[in-house]
Amino acid sequence: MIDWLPAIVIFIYLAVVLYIGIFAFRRGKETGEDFFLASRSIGSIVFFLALFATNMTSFAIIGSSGMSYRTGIGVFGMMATSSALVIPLTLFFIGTRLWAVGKRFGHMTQVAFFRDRWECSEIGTFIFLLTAAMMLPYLIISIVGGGTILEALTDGHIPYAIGGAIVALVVMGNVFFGGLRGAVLVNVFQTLLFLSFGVIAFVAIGHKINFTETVDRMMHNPTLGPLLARNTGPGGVPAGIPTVVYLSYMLIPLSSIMFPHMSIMCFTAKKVTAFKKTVVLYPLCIMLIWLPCCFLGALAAGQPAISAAMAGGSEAMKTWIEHPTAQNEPLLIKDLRRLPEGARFRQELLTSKEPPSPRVFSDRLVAIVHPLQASTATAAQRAAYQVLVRDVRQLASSNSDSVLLEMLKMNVWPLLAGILAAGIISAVMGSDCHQILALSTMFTKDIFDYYGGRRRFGEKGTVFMGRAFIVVANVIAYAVAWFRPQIFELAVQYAFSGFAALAPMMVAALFWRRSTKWGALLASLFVAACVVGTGILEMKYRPARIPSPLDVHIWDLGTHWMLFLNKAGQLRVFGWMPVVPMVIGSAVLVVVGSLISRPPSNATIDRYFGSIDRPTEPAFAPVAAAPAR
Amino acid sequence: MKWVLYAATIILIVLHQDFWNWDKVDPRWFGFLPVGLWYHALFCVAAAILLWLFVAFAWPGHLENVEHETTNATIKRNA
Repeated sequence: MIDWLPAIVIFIYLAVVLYIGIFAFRRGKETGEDFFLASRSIGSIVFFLALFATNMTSFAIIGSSGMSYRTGIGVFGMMATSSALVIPLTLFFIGTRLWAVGKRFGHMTQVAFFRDRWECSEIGTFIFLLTAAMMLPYLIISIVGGGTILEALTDGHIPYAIGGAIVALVVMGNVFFGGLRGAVLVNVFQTLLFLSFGVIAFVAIGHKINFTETVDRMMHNPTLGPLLARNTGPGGVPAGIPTVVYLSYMLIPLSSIMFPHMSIMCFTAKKVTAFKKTVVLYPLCIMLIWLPCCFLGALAAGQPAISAAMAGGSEAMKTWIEHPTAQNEPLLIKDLRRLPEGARFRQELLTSKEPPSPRVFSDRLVAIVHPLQASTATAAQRAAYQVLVRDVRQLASSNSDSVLLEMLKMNVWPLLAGILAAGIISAVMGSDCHQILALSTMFTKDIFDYYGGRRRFGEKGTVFMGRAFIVVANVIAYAVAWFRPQIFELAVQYAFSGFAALAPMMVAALFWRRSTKWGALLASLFVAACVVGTGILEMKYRPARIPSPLDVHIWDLGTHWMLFLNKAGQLRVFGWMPVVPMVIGSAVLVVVGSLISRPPSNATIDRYFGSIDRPTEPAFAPVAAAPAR
Repeated sequence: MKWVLYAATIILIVLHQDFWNWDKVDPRWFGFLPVGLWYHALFCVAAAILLWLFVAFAWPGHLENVEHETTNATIKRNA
């Protein structure tokens, strides 16, 4: 029963989420604007809580702690505090103006705005296809995150595939019934839950683990010490965040405002003043979530029992236990064989045919390894200890996304672990609701409505189509999530870089009169080519870099490596992340493409730059709607 | 005032790089929080203050009175 307690808490949480969706359904109207934008009626506090939940994914809690376990505390500055500055600034400058054009001209999506602003049709459709394609990976990581959490929390009693399906179904139910109103109401509940998560986890785990002692111990270990600094640690060993990569990450948060679910959220505010609280509170809330996660993730590396549990729950270990061969035998097991107790443990694992729970695996492993470093241990035993610790860390790093959950399970009372895990899962689902709804809104408004669906099927037909799309998108995302793609790599390299590189296009549309649809087309074609190109290069050179300890050379310019894959298999351009040349290239192409093509009509330019900035004196007489009869 | 805020933004971007802390763990806060973390926690507070100043002194107040109008598509449909 105790084992299931955290899972029971999560199921109660999921039931609440579903109920809120049904509650919102009862209060909603069957109109497109109400289903997709909650009738643009969101007040300032709810707007902040919902927008924050929209932008926080499993990435913020699971990914950040996992990456900190592998790379160290530098993750906090690299990813979180760059976002803490850049995202509120984009909301302040871009979000407020986007809200204004949405309010003024009734736009519900970015593409609707681009089509109207640049007097284009098919180019808008292309931008829709590009953004929808880049959105799907982001959708997938939410389901992967949900499945991973439920599996880890129940020690595998709920397998990953079923956990992911449960999360996908609850999210689908919430937005299917409640639309944006349902998602926003859930967000309020979710944001409060996961904002308190970090603080409670920090205090609860700190009560069990002596932080000061662990940090001191790590500082005296040449492998673990660097995890507490950013570049090189006390031992002078590089921790693995190169300067150019750190700088590159300053551009990643530009993606935030370009994610369709974020820009759609900007349209939902009742008044533009709702942005005021949001931009001021945003950096503080980022800190509340990311700081504890990054610290605890890095600190877990100094807890042998946590690393052992993560190693025990890794895919490599499970695969070997279920289908043991000489090829797939983890290095840890091979090295354990040299010890009499280790050989016995190996035999037990092989005969059981079923992976033990991470906790059981951890207890056994620690019992074998711990005596090797006792004061009475021989030199050979100490050497074996060093080798095994390295093996455990290597295996645990392949399962680093589970670090926080293992910490909670080992250090916190089960009921509290369940509540905290509900906090994690709410971060997963908060954005997932909006991603699915955003895709549905885009499809319904930019394709179905635009190409005549609304005229033929009416307002109710539009809402029906939106709901049908939610089901289809969810099924596709779940099918891909089944293969369990790596959370960080997938999201950062494809979706984040692509959306960040589309930001210059949005800036041009909102602030540059002379920008044209051809500039937008050139930029979006370039972004599409870069995203596809990155994927192809990484796939092509992937076999060469596994398990290469070196960077893989692709193309050079003189004596400089221009294109290469780093040790983690990620593409680098002169050492920079692809997002840097992508943003610069996209900005240049918007400008060049616009300057060599004819601008939109004066009437359109005047509507967007005259009437928005002088709302009391419209420069263009609005066309009166047909009077109701 | 806007230019002061733009300059402050650039200063914050430079401060974000904190290369002077890259090799350090100490000084630690409360005996355990490495400088690389608490420095960036303070950075978040500074970012919140900057954004508050933007709201106070550079708020796009003219957007508050925006009213609903029609789109090009609506104009074409009604023509």
